[in-house]
Amino acid sequence: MSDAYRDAVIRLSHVPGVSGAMVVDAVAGVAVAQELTPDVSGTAIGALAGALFGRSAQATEGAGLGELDVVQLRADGGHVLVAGAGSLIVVALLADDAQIGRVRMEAQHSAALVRQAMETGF
Amino acid sequence: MKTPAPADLHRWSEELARNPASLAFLPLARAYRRMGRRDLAMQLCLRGLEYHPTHVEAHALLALLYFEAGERAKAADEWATVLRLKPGNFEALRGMGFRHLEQGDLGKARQHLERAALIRPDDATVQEALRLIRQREAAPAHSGGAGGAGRARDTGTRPAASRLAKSSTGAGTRAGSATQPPTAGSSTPGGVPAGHPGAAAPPRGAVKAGAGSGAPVESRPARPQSVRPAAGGPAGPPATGAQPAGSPGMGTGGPRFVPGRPSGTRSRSEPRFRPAWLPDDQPSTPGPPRPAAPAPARHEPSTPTRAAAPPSGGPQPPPTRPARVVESPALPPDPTRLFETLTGSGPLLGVLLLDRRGLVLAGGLSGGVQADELGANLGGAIDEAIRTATHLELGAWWGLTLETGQAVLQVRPVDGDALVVVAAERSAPAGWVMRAADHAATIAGRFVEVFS
Repeated sequence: MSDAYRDAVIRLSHVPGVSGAMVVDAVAGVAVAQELTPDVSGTAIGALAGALFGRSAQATEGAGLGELDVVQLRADGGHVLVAGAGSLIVVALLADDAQIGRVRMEAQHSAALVRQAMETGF
Repeated sequence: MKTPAPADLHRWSEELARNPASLAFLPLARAYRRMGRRDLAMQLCLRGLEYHPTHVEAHALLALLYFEAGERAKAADEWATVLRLKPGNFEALRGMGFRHLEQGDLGKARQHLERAALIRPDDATVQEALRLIRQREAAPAHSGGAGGAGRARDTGTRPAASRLAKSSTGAGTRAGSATQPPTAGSSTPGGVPAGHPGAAAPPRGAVKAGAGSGAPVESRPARPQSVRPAAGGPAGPPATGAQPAGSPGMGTGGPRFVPGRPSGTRSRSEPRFRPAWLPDDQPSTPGPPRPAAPAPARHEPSTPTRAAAPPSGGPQPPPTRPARVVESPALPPDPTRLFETLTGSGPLLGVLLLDRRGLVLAGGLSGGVQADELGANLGGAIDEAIRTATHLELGAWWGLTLETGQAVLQVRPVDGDALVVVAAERSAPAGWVMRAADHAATIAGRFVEVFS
Protein backbone atom coordinates (compact mmCIF):
# COMPACT_ATOMS: atom_id res chain seq x y z
CA MET A 1 0.00 0.00 0.00
CA SER A 2 1.22 3.46 -0.86
CA ASP A 3 2.29 5.59 2.07
CA ALA A 4 0.47 8.43 0.39
CA TYR A 5 -2.83 6.61 0.72
CA ARG A 6 -2.13 5.76 4.30
CA ASP A 7 -1.07 9.32 5.07
CA ALA A 8 -4.25 10.61 3.49
CA VAL A 9 -6.56 8.51 5.64
CA ILE A 10 -4.61 9.16 8.82
CA ARG A 11 -4.65 12.87 8.19
CA LEU A 12 -8.34 12.86 7.50
CA SER A 13 -9.24 10.62 10.42
CA HIS A 14 -7.56 13.02 12.83
CA VAL A 15 -9.88 15.88 11.97
CA PRO A 16 -12.28 16.53 14.85
CA GLY A 17 -15.64 14.93 14.24
CA VAL A 18 -14.30 12.33 11.82
CA SER A 19 -14.80 8.83 13.16
CA GLY A 20 -13.16 7.02 10.29
CA ALA A 21 -11.56 7.47 6.90
CA MET A 22 -10.85 5.25 3.95
CA VAL A 23 -9.45 5.22 0.45
CA VAL A 24 -11.58 2.98 -1.71
CA ASP A 25 -11.47 1.73 -5.25
CA ALA A 26 -14.47 3.54 -6.72
CA VAL A 27 -15.46 0.83 -9.16
CA ALA A 28 -14.78 -2.29 -7.13
CA GLY A 29 -15.84 -0.76 -3.84
CA VAL A 30 -12.94 -2.34 -1.96
CA ALA A 31 -10.74 -0.61 0.58
CA VAL A 32 -7.26 0.47 -0.40
CA ALA A 33 -6.40 2.10 2.94
CA GLN A 34 -8.47 2.62 6.00
CA GLU A 35 -8.41 4.09 9.46
CA LEU A 36 -11.56 2.94 11.22
CA THR A 37 -12.71 2.08 14.68
CA PRO A 38 -12.95 -1.66 15.32
CA ASP A 39 -16.72 -1.68 15.38
CA VAL A 40 -17.01 -0.39 11.83
CA SER A 41 -16.87 -2.68 8.83
CA GLY A 42 -14.52 -1.29 6.22
CA THR A 43 -15.80 -3.81 3.70
CA ALA A 44 -19.36 -2.57 3.99
CA ILE A 45 -18.45 1.09 3.97
CA GLY A 46 -16.22 0.65 0.96
CA ALA A 47 -18.95 -1.06 -0.99
CA LEU A 48 -21.66 1.40 0.03
CA ALA A 49 -19.56 4.49 -0.55
CA GLY A 50 -18.43 3.21 -3.93
CA ALA A 51 -21.99 2.60 -5.01
CA LEU A 52 -23.17 5.96 -3.68
CA PHE A 53 -20.45 7.84 -5.48
CA GLY A 54 -20.91 5.85 -8.67
CA ARG A 55 -24.64 6.42 -8.90
CA SER A 56 -24.28 10.07 -7.99
CA ALA A 57 -21.62 10.54 -10.66
CA GLN A 58 -23.94 8.94 -13.16
CA ALA A 59 -26.65 11.46 -12.26
CA THR A 60 -24.48 14.57 -12.50
CA GLU A 61 -22.64 13.54 -15.64
CA GLY A 62 -25.91 12.59 -17.31
CA ALA A 63 -27.30 16.01 -16.53
CA GLY A 64 -24.31 17.70 -18.08
CA LEU A 65 -22.94 18.98 -14.80
CA GLY A 66 -19.49 17.50 -15.24
CA GLU A 67 -17.38 15.17 -13.19
CA LEU A 68 -18.46 14.59 -9.62
CA ASP A 69 -16.06 15.84 -6.97
CA VAL A 70 -17.80 15.34 -3.65
CA VAL A 71 -20.87 13.58 -2.31
CA GLN A 72 -22.10 14.24 1.18
CA LEU A 73 -24.87 12.22 2.75
CA ARG A 74 -26.49 13.75 5.82
CA ALA A 75 -28.55 11.62 8.14
CA ASP A 76 -29.85 11.78 11.67
CA GLY A 77 -26.95 9.90 13.16
CA GLY A 78 -24.07 11.32 11.19
CA HIS A 79 -22.70 12.11 7.78
CA VAL A 80 -20.76 10.31 5.09
CA LEU A 81 -18.52 12.38 2.87
CA VAL A 82 -17.03 10.92 -0.29
CA ALA A 83 -14.49 12.80 -2.37
CA GLY A 84 -13.47 11.64 -5.81
CA ALA A 85 -9.83 11.01 -6.58
CA GLY A 86 -9.75 9.55 -10.07
CA SER A 87 -10.48 5.86 -9.91
CA LEU A 88 -10.30 6.03 -6.13
CA ILE A 89 -12.49 7.77 -3.64
CA VAL A 90 -11.75 9.15 -0.20
CA VAL A 91 -14.43 8.40 2.37
CA ALA A 92 -14.93 10.11 5.71
CA LEU A 93 -17.44 9.11 8.38
CA LEU A 94 -18.57 12.13 10.38
CA ALA A 95 -20.41 12.65 13.60
CA ASP A 96 -23.54 14.72 13.18
CA ASP A 97 -21.94 17.63 15.01
CA ALA A 98 -18.72 17.58 13.01
CA GLN A 99 -17.29 20.77 11.63
CA ILE A 100 -18.38 20.05 8.10
CA GLY A 101 -16.46 22.88 6.51
CA ARG A 102 -13.15 21.68 7.81
CA VAL A 103 -13.83 18.06 7.01
CA ARG A 104 -14.76 18.97 3.45
CA MET A 105 -11.56 20.87 3.05
CA GLU A 106 -9.45 18.07 4.50
CA ALA A 107 -11.24 15.42 2.45
CA GLN A 108 -10.59 17.33 -0.74
CA HIS A 109 -6.97 17.79 0.25
CA SER A 110 -6.67 14.07 0.94
CA ALA A 111 -8.29 13.34 -2.40
CA ALA A 112 -5.75 15.57 -4.10
CA LEU A 113 -2.92 13.70 -2.36
CA VAL A 114 -4.35 10.37 -3.45
CA ARG A 115 -4.83 11.54 -7.01
CA GLN A 116 -1.28 12.83 -7.08
CA ALA A 117 0.04 9.53 -5.73
CA MET A 118 -1.86 7.64 -8.42
CA GLU A 119 -0.49 9.87 -11.15
CA THR A 120 3.06 9.41 -9.95
CA GLY A 121 2.72 5.67 -10.14
CA PHE A 122 1.93 4.49 -6.65
CA MET B 1 -62.66 8.29 17.63
CA LYS B 2 -64.11 4.87 17.59
CA THR B 3 -62.48 1.93 19.28
CA PRO B 4 -60.68 -0.32 16.86
CA ALA B 5 -62.49 -3.53 16.05
CA PRO B 6 -61.00 -6.63 17.66
CA ALA B 7 -60.91 -8.24 14.25
CA ASP B 8 -58.70 -5.45 12.99
CA LEU B 9 -56.40 -5.76 15.97
CA HIS B 10 -56.17 -9.48 15.40
CA ARG B 11 -55.50 -9.07 11.72
CA TRP B 12 -52.77 -6.50 12.23
CA SER B 13 -51.16 -8.53 15.00
CA GLU B 14 -51.14 -11.64 12.86
CA GLU B 15 -49.74 -9.75 9.95
CA LEU B 16 -46.93 -8.44 12.11
CA ALA B 17 -46.26 -11.89 13.52
CA ARG B 18 -45.98 -13.26 10.00
CA ASN B 19 -43.92 -10.38 8.73
CA PRO B 20 -42.16 -8.17 11.26
CA ALA B 21 -41.42 -5.70 8.49
CA SER B 22 -45.10 -5.23 7.77
CA LEU B 23 -46.54 -1.74 7.88
CA ALA B 24 -49.34 -3.11 10.03
CA PHE B 25 -47.40 -1.83 13.00
CA LEU B 26 -48.73 1.64 12.34
CA PRO B 27 -52.49 1.06 12.53
CA LEU B 28 -51.88 -1.32 15.40
CA ALA B 29 -49.85 1.28 17.28
CA ARG B 30 -52.53 3.88 16.66
CA ALA B 31 -55.15 1.49 17.93
CA TYR B 32 -53.17 0.76 21.08
CA ARG B 33 -52.71 4.46 21.63
CA ARG B 34 -56.43 5.04 21.40
CA MET B 35 -56.93 2.23 23.86
CA GLY B 36 -54.58 3.90 26.27
CA ARG B 37 -51.81 1.32 25.77
CA ARG B 38 -49.19 3.86 24.91
CA ASP B 39 -46.35 1.67 26.07
CA LEU B 40 -47.28 -0.96 23.52
CA ALA B 41 -47.88 1.65 20.89
CA MET B 42 -44.43 3.05 21.50
CA GLN B 43 -42.81 -0.36 21.28
CA LEU B 44 -44.57 -1.03 18.01
CA CYS B 45 -43.46 2.29 16.60
CA LEU B 46 -39.87 1.77 17.63
CA ARG B 47 -39.78 -1.70 16.16
CA GLY B 48 -41.54 -0.59 13.02
CA LEU B 49 -39.06 2.21 12.53
CA GLU B 50 -36.24 -0.29 12.60
CA TYR B 51 -37.66 -1.67 9.39
CA HIS B 52 -38.95 1.61 8.02
CA PRO B 53 -36.61 4.30 9.30
CA THR B 54 -37.97 6.94 6.97
CA HIS B 55 -41.65 6.40 7.65
CA VAL B 56 -42.96 9.87 8.33
CA GLU B 57 -46.21 8.89 9.99
CA ALA B 58 -44.46 6.46 12.30
CA HIS B 59 -42.06 9.18 13.43
CA ALA B 60 -44.98 11.56 13.87
CA LEU B 61 -46.88 9.04 15.94
CA LEU B 62 -43.81 8.34 18.02
CA ALA B 63 -43.40 12.06 18.61
CA LEU B 64 -46.94 12.19 19.86
CA LEU B 65 -46.40 9.22 22.14
CA TYR B 66 -43.24 10.68 23.58
CA PHE B 67 -44.97 13.96 24.06
CA GLU B 68 -47.86 12.36 25.86
CA ALA B 69 -45.39 10.55 28.07
CA GLY B 70 -43.85 13.87 29.01
CA GLU B 71 -40.62 13.14 27.15
CA ARG B 72 -40.45 16.41 25.32
CA ALA B 73 -36.87 16.17 24.20
CA LYS B 74 -37.54 12.86 22.54
CA ALA B 75 -40.73 14.18 21.04
CA ALA B 76 -38.75 17.07 19.62
CA ASP B 77 -36.21 14.65 18.19
CA GLU B 78 -38.97 12.81 16.40
CA TRP B 79 -40.51 16.01 15.10
CA ALA B 80 -37.10 16.99 13.83
CA THR B 81 -36.92 13.69 12.02
CA VAL B 82 -40.35 14.24 10.56
CA LEU B 83 -39.22 17.61 9.27
CA ARG B 84 -36.18 16.13 7.65
CA LEU B 85 -38.33 13.62 5.89
CA LYS B 86 -41.18 15.98 5.20
CA PRO B 87 -40.15 19.57 5.73
CA GLY B 88 -43.69 20.79 5.24
CA ASN B 89 -45.26 18.73 8.01
CA PHE B 90 -47.42 21.16 9.88
CA GLU B 91 -47.66 19.33 13.21
CA ALA B 92 -43.91 18.86 13.38
CA LEU B 93 -43.26 22.50 12.47
CA ARG B 94 -45.65 23.63 15.15
CA GLY B 95 -44.30 21.20 17.70
CA MET B 96 -40.74 22.27 17.05
CA GLY B 97 -41.72 25.91 17.06
CA PHE B 98 -43.34 25.61 20.45
CA ARG B 99 -40.44 23.57 21.71
CA HIS B 100 -37.98 26.31 20.76
CA LEU B 101 -40.28 28.92 22.20
CA GLU B 102 -40.44 26.99 25.41
CA GLN B 103 -36.66 26.96 25.47
CA GLY B 104 -36.52 30.68 24.81
CA ASP B 105 -34.99 30.38 21.36
CA LEU B 106 -37.10 32.96 19.63
CA GLY B 107 -35.23 32.83 16.35
CA LYS B 108 -35.74 29.15 15.80
CA ALA B 109 -39.24 29.32 17.14
CA ARG B 110 -40.09 32.04 14.66
CA GLN B 111 -38.49 30.11 11.84
CA HIS B 112 -40.58 27.00 12.48
CA LEU B 113 -43.78 28.79 13.26
CA GLU B 114 -43.61 31.02 10.22
CA ARG B 115 -43.26 27.93 8.09
CA ALA B 116 -46.22 26.41 9.91
CA ALA B 117 -48.20 29.58 9.32
CA LEU B 118 -47.49 29.37 5.62
CA ILE B 119 -49.13 25.99 5.57
CA ARG B 120 -52.06 26.86 7.79
CA PRO B 121 -52.45 30.57 8.00
CA ASP B 122 -55.57 30.32 10.15
CA ASP B 123 -54.16 28.17 12.91
CA ALA B 124 -54.79 30.22 16.01
CA THR B 125 -52.11 28.65 18.15
CA VAL B 126 -49.44 29.38 15.58
CA GLN B 127 -50.62 32.93 15.03
CA GLU B 128 -50.69 33.49 18.74
CA ALA B 129 -47.19 32.17 19.13
CA LEU B 130 -45.93 34.42 16.37
CA ARG B 131 -47.63 37.38 17.94
CA LEU B 132 -45.89 36.58 21.19
CA ILE B 133 -42.54 36.27 19.51
CA ARG B 134 -42.97 39.66 17.90
CA GLN B 135 -44.01 41.09 21.22
CA ARG B 136 -41.02 39.67 23.02
CA GLU B 137 -38.61 40.66 20.31
CA ALA B 138 -39.95 44.18 20.37
CA ALA B 139 -39.55 44.57 24.10
CA PRO B 140 -37.42 41.75 25.41
CA ALA B 141 -36.57 43.42 28.67
CA HIS B 142 -40.05 44.44 29.67
CA SER B 143 -41.98 42.38 32.08
CA GLY B 144 -45.05 44.50 31.17
CA GLY B 145 -48.52 43.21 30.88
CA ALA B 146 -51.73 44.40 32.35
CA GLY B 147 -51.07 44.80 35.99
CA GLY B 148 -47.83 42.98 35.56
CA ALA B 149 -48.97 40.14 37.73
CA GLY B 150 -47.07 37.07 36.93
CA ARG B 151 -45.32 38.58 33.96
CA ALA B 152 -41.89 37.49 34.87
CA ARG B 153 -38.93 39.27 33.38
CA ASP B 154 -37.36 37.52 30.52
CA THR B 155 -33.72 37.40 31.37
CA GLY B 156 -32.81 35.18 28.54
CA THR B 157 -30.86 32.95 30.81
CA ARG B 158 -33.37 30.21 31.32
CA PRO B 159 -36.10 28.62 29.31
CA ALA B 160 -39.18 30.73 29.53
CA ALA B 161 -41.31 28.06 31.08
CA SER B 162 -38.81 27.39 33.82
CA ARG B 163 -38.32 31.05 34.51
CA LEU B 164 -41.96 31.66 34.85
CA ALA B 165 -42.70 28.67 36.94
CA LYS B 166 -41.56 30.67 39.90
CA SER B 167 -44.09 33.31 39.21
CA SER B 168 -46.93 30.89 39.57
CA THR B 169 -48.42 31.28 42.97
CA GLY B 170 -51.50 30.26 44.79
CA ALA B 171 -54.48 28.60 43.30
CA GLY B 172 -57.51 29.74 41.53
CA THR B 173 -59.26 29.55 38.29
CA ARG B 174 -58.46 31.03 35.01
CA ALA B 175 -61.23 31.74 32.69
CA GLY B 176 -59.24 30.98 29.61
CA SER B 177 -56.32 32.89 28.33
CA ALA B 178 -58.12 33.76 25.15
CA THR B 179 -60.22 36.17 27.10
CA GLN B 180 -57.32 38.12 28.41
CA PRO B 181 -56.57 41.47 26.90
CA PRO B 182 -53.78 41.49 24.38
CA THR B 183 -51.35 43.08 26.75
CA ALA B 184 -51.81 40.32 29.23
CA GLY B 185 -51.67 37.95 26.39
CA SER B 186 -53.90 35.23 25.29
CA SER B 187 -50.91 33.14 25.94
CA THR B 188 -48.86 32.26 28.86
CA PRO B 189 -46.63 34.81 30.40
CA GLY B 190 -43.63 32.81 29.52
CA GLY B 191 -44.08 33.45 25.92
CA VAL B 192 -45.25 29.98 25.06
CA PRO B 193 -48.58 30.14 23.38
CA ALA B 194 -51.67 28.93 25.04
CA GLY B 195 -52.31 25.41 24.23
CA HIS B 196 -48.75 24.29 24.12
CA PRO B 197 -47.36 21.98 26.72
CA GLY B 198 -44.49 24.26 27.30
CA ALA B 199 -46.66 27.16 28.22
CA ALA B 200 -46.03 28.45 31.65
CA ALA B 201 -48.47 28.59 34.47
CA PRO B 202 -50.56 31.68 34.88
CA PRO B 203 -49.68 34.12 37.54
CA ARG B 204 -52.50 33.17 39.78
CA GLY B 205 -52.42 29.45 39.66
CA ALA B 206 -54.76 27.19 37.86
CA VAL B 207 -57.22 24.44 38.07
CA LYS B 208 -57.24 21.40 35.91
CA ALA B 209 -60.22 21.35 33.69
CA GLY B 210 -62.22 18.29 34.34
CA ALA B 211 -59.64 16.78 36.56
CA GLY B 212 -62.33 15.20 38.62
CA SER B 213 -61.71 16.59 42.03
CA GLY B 214 -61.73 20.15 40.97
CA ALA B 215 -59.01 20.79 43.47
CA PRO B 216 -56.38 23.27 42.56
CA VAL B 217 -53.20 21.77 41.33
CA GLU B 218 -50.19 22.44 43.39
CA SER B 219 -47.68 24.50 41.55
CA ARG B 220 -44.19 23.19 41.39
CA PRO B 221 -41.62 25.89 41.23
CA ALA B 222 -38.59 25.49 39.09
CA ARG B 223 -40.27 22.96 36.87
CA PRO B 224 -41.32 23.72 33.37
CA GLN B 225 -45.00 24.35 33.29
CA SER B 226 -47.50 22.79 31.06
CA VAL B 227 -50.83 23.81 29.80
CA ARG B 228 -53.92 21.93 29.36
CA PRO B 229 -56.62 23.03 26.99
CA ALA B 230 -59.97 23.86 28.39
CA ALA B 231 -61.53 20.99 26.50
CA GLY B 232 -64.81 22.62 26.87
CA GLY B 233 -64.46 23.15 30.53
CA PRO B 234 -67.34 24.81 32.25
CA ALA B 235 -65.53 27.92 33.33
CA GLY B 236 -64.31 28.94 29.94
CA PRO B 237 -66.11 31.74 28.23
CA PRO B 238 -66.00 31.90 24.48
CA ALA B 239 -62.74 32.88 22.99
CA THR B 240 -62.43 36.37 21.73
CA GLY B 241 -59.96 38.71 20.30
CA ALA B 242 -56.70 37.40 19.12
CA GLN B 243 -57.61 33.79 19.53
CA PRO B 244 -60.32 32.83 17.12
CA ALA B 245 -63.03 30.71 18.61
CA GLY B 246 -63.15 27.24 17.35
CA SER B 247 -59.71 27.31 15.95
CA PRO B 248 -58.18 23.93 15.33
CA GLY B 249 -57.68 22.18 18.54
CA MET B 250 -58.68 25.10 20.66
CA GLY B 251 -61.74 24.68 22.76
CA THR B 252 -64.06 27.60 22.69
CA GLY B 253 -63.37 28.14 26.32
CA GLY B 254 -59.73 28.77 25.63
CA PRO B 255 -56.89 26.91 27.20
CA ARG B 256 -56.36 26.43 30.87
CA PHE B 257 -53.08 26.04 32.53
CA VAL B 258 -51.89 23.51 34.95
CA PRO B 259 -48.44 23.21 36.34
CA GLY B 260 -46.35 20.53 34.81
CA ARG B 261 -44.98 17.56 36.53
CA PRO B 262 -42.11 15.29 35.60
CA SER B 263 -43.36 12.42 33.56
CA GLY B 264 -41.83 9.92 35.89
CA THR B 265 -43.88 11.14 38.80
CA ARG B 266 -47.22 11.06 37.12
CA SER B 267 -49.45 8.14 37.85
CA ARG B 268 -51.41 6.55 35.06
CA SER B 269 -54.67 7.56 36.62
CA GLU B 270 -53.80 11.21 36.50
CA PRO B 271 -54.73 13.31 33.56
CA ARG B 272 -51.96 13.92 31.14
CA PHE B 273 -50.79 17.17 29.76
CA ARG B 274 -52.21 17.86 26.45
CA PRO B 275 -51.74 20.72 24.07
CA ALA B 276 -54.69 22.29 22.43
CA TRP B 277 -53.82 20.76 19.12
CA LEU B 278 -53.72 17.15 20.19
CA PRO B 279 -56.38 14.97 18.65
CA ASP B 280 -59.54 14.29 20.54
CA ASP B 281 -59.02 10.59 20.97
CA GLN B 282 -57.26 10.58 24.28
CA PRO B 283 -58.87 8.02 26.51
CA SER B 284 -56.90 9.17 29.50
CA THR B 285 -57.92 12.76 29.12
CA PRO B 286 -60.64 13.56 31.56
CA GLY B 287 -63.15 16.31 31.36
CA PRO B 288 -66.21 16.92 29.31
CA PRO B 289 -66.01 16.56 25.58
CA ARG B 290 -64.96 19.59 23.68
CA PRO B 291 -67.60 21.67 22.10
CA ALA B 292 -67.91 21.19 18.41
CA ALA B 293 -65.27 23.23 16.72
CA PRO B 294 -66.36 24.95 13.56
CA ALA B 295 -62.80 25.16 12.41
CA PRO B 296 -62.24 24.29 8.78
CA ALA B 297 -59.54 21.87 9.76
CA ARG B 298 -61.83 19.53 11.63
CA HIS B 299 -64.95 18.82 9.70
CA GLU B 300 -66.16 15.82 11.64
CA PRO B 301 -64.82 14.11 14.68
CA SER B 302 -64.70 10.80 12.89
CA THR B 303 -62.93 12.06 9.81
CA PRO B 304 -59.92 13.97 10.90
CA THR B 305 -58.18 15.88 8.22
CA ARG B 306 -54.55 16.52 7.89
CA ALA B 307 -55.13 19.91 9.28
CA ALA B 308 -56.86 18.62 12.35
CA ALA B 309 -54.31 16.58 14.19
CA PRO B 310 -51.30 14.38 14.05
CA PRO B 311 -51.94 10.85 12.81
CA SER B 312 -54.18 9.30 15.31
CA GLY B 313 -55.62 6.03 14.62
CA GLY B 314 -56.54 3.11 12.57
CA PRO B 315 -56.91 2.96 8.88
CA GLN B 316 -57.75 6.51 8.06
CA PRO B 317 -59.91 7.79 5.28
CA PRO B 318 -58.18 9.78 2.61
CA PRO B 319 -57.31 13.12 4.10
CA THR B 320 -59.70 15.89 3.36
CA ARG B 321 -57.86 18.87 2.07
CA PRO B 322 -59.14 22.15 3.33
CA ALA B 323 -60.11 24.42 0.51
CA ARG B 324 -58.14 27.26 1.99
CA VAL B 325 -54.90 25.46 1.28
CA VAL B 326 -55.73 24.96 -2.36
CA GLU B 327 -56.75 28.56 -2.64
CA SER B 328 -53.50 29.78 -1.22
CA PRO B 329 -52.23 32.58 -3.40
CA ALA B 330 -48.64 31.60 -2.75
CA LEU B 331 -48.85 28.58 -5.03
CA PRO B 332 -48.49 29.64 -8.64
CA PRO B 333 -50.70 28.06 -11.25
CA ASP B 334 -47.64 27.35 -13.36
CA PRO B 335 -45.57 24.63 -11.65
CA THR B 336 -42.42 25.71 -13.42
CA ARG B 337 -42.63 28.95 -11.44
CA LEU B 338 -43.06 27.28 -8.07
CA PHE B 339 -39.61 28.24 -6.87
CA GLU B 340 -39.26 31.56 -8.60
CA THR B 341 -38.98 33.39 -5.30
CA LEU B 342 -35.74 31.52 -4.79
CA THR B 343 -34.40 31.47 -8.29
CA GLY B 344 -35.05 35.10 -9.08
CA SER B 345 -31.64 36.16 -7.94
CA GLY B 346 -28.33 34.81 -6.78
CA PRO B 347 -26.26 31.97 -8.13
CA LEU B 348 -29.03 29.39 -8.31
CA LEU B 349 -29.31 27.43 -11.52
CA GLY B 350 -32.76 26.28 -10.55
CA VAL B 351 -34.85 24.08 -8.34
CA LEU B 352 -36.61 20.86 -9.25
CA LEU B 353 -39.29 18.91 -7.49
CA LEU B 354 -39.14 15.26 -8.48
CA ASP B 355 -41.57 12.48 -7.74
CA ARG B 356 -40.65 9.00 -6.69
CA ARG B 357 -40.24 7.90 -10.28
CA GLY B 358 -37.83 10.67 -11.08
CA LEU B 359 -40.34 12.74 -13.02
CA VAL B 360 -40.23 16.50 -12.68
CA LEU B 361 -43.28 17.77 -10.82
CA ALA B 362 -42.37 21.42 -10.63
CA GLY B 363 -39.56 23.87 -11.03
CA GLY B 364 -36.88 23.97 -13.65
CA LEU B 365 -33.17 24.34 -14.25
CA SER B 366 -31.27 26.82 -16.35
CA GLY B 367 -27.70 26.82 -17.59
CA GLY B 368 -28.17 23.90 -19.94
CA VAL B 369 -28.70 21.39 -17.17
CA GLN B 370 -30.70 18.39 -18.33
CA ALA B 371 -33.48 18.33 -15.76
CA ASP B 372 -35.17 15.19 -17.02
CA GLU B 373 -31.88 13.36 -17.21
CA LEU B 374 -30.99 14.46 -13.72
CA GLY B 375 -34.36 13.36 -12.37
CA ALA B 376 -34.13 10.02 -14.06
CA ASN B 377 -30.69 9.23 -12.69
CA LEU B 378 -30.94 10.76 -9.26
CA GLY B 379 -33.23 8.04 -7.99
CA GLY B 380 -30.38 5.55 -8.10
CA ALA B 381 -28.19 7.83 -6.03
CA ILE B 382 -30.95 8.28 -3.48
CA ASP B 383 -31.43 4.52 -3.25
CA GLU B 384 -27.74 4.20 -2.45
CA ALA B 385 -27.95 7.01 0.07
CA ILE B 386 -30.81 5.30 1.88
CA ARG B 387 -28.98 1.98 1.78
CA THR B 388 -25.85 3.58 3.19
CA ALA B 389 -27.69 5.39 5.97
CA THR B 390 -29.59 2.24 6.89
CA HIS B 391 -26.56 -0.04 6.88
CA LEU B 392 -24.46 2.37 8.91
CA GLU B 393 -27.37 2.85 11.30
CA LEU B 394 -27.37 6.58 10.74
CA GLY B 395 -31.13 6.83 10.86
CA ALA B 396 -33.14 8.72 8.31
CA TRP B 397 -31.30 10.64 5.61
CA TRP B 398 -32.27 14.24 5.17
CA GLY B 399 -29.83 15.65 2.72
CA LEU B 400 -27.50 14.78 -0.11
CA THR B 401 -24.95 17.15 -1.58
CA LEU B 402 -23.35 16.54 -4.95
CA GLU B 403 -20.52 18.83 -6.03
CA THR B 404 -19.12 18.87 -9.51
CA GLY B 405 -16.75 21.16 -11.32
CA GLN B 406 -19.65 23.25 -12.55
CA ALA B 407 -22.37 23.05 -9.96
CA VAL B 408 -23.45 21.99 -6.54
CA LEU B 409 -26.68 20.10 -6.01
CA GLN B 410 -28.55 19.92 -2.76
CA VAL B 411 -31.15 17.17 -2.52
CA ARG B 412 -33.81 16.97 0.16
CA PRO B 413 -36.54 14.43 0.74
CA VAL B 414 -40.03 15.86 0.59
CA ASP B 415 -43.11 14.16 1.90
CA GLY B 416 -41.42 10.80 2.17
CA ASP B 417 -41.20 9.98 -1.49
CA ALA B 418 -40.55 13.15 -3.42
CA LEU B 419 -37.29 15.02 -3.78
CA VAL B 420 -36.38 18.62 -4.13
CA VAL B 421 -33.12 19.39 -5.93
CA VAL B 422 -31.49 22.76 -5.71
CA ALA B 423 -28.77 23.43 -8.26
CA ALA B 424 -26.37 26.29 -7.85
CA GLU B 425 -23.22 27.49 -9.47
CA ARG B 426 -20.11 25.90 -8.05
CA SER B 427 -18.96 29.22 -6.72
CA ALA B 428 -22.08 29.65 -4.58
CA PRO B 429 -21.42 29.59 -0.84
CA ALA B 430 -22.12 26.10 0.45
CA GLY B 431 -24.05 27.24 3.48
CA TRP B 432 -26.20 29.54 1.42
CA VAL B 433 -27.09 26.73 -0.97
CA MET B 434 -28.01 24.51 1.96
CA ARG B 435 -30.35 27.15 3.32
CA ALA B 436 -31.83 27.69 -0.09
CA ALA B 437 -32.48 23.96 -0.22
CA ASP B 438 -34.25 24.12 3.12
CA HIS B 439 -36.49 26.89 1.82
CA ALA B 440 -37.13 25.00 -1.37
CA ALA B 441 -38.06 21.91 0.62
CA THR B 442 -40.61 23.92 2.56
CA ILE B 443 -42.18 25.25 -0.60
CA ALA B 444 -42.08 21.82 -2.18
CA GLY B 445 -43.63 20.21 0.86
CA ARG B 446 -46.52 22.56 0.65
CA PHE B 447 -46.93 21.95 -3.05
CA VAL B 448 -46.89 18.20 -2.54
CA GLU B 449 -49.37 18.45 0.30
CA VAL B 450 -51.80 20.28 -1.91
CA PHE B 451 -51.34 18.43 -5.15
CA SER B 452 -50.22 14.94 -4.27
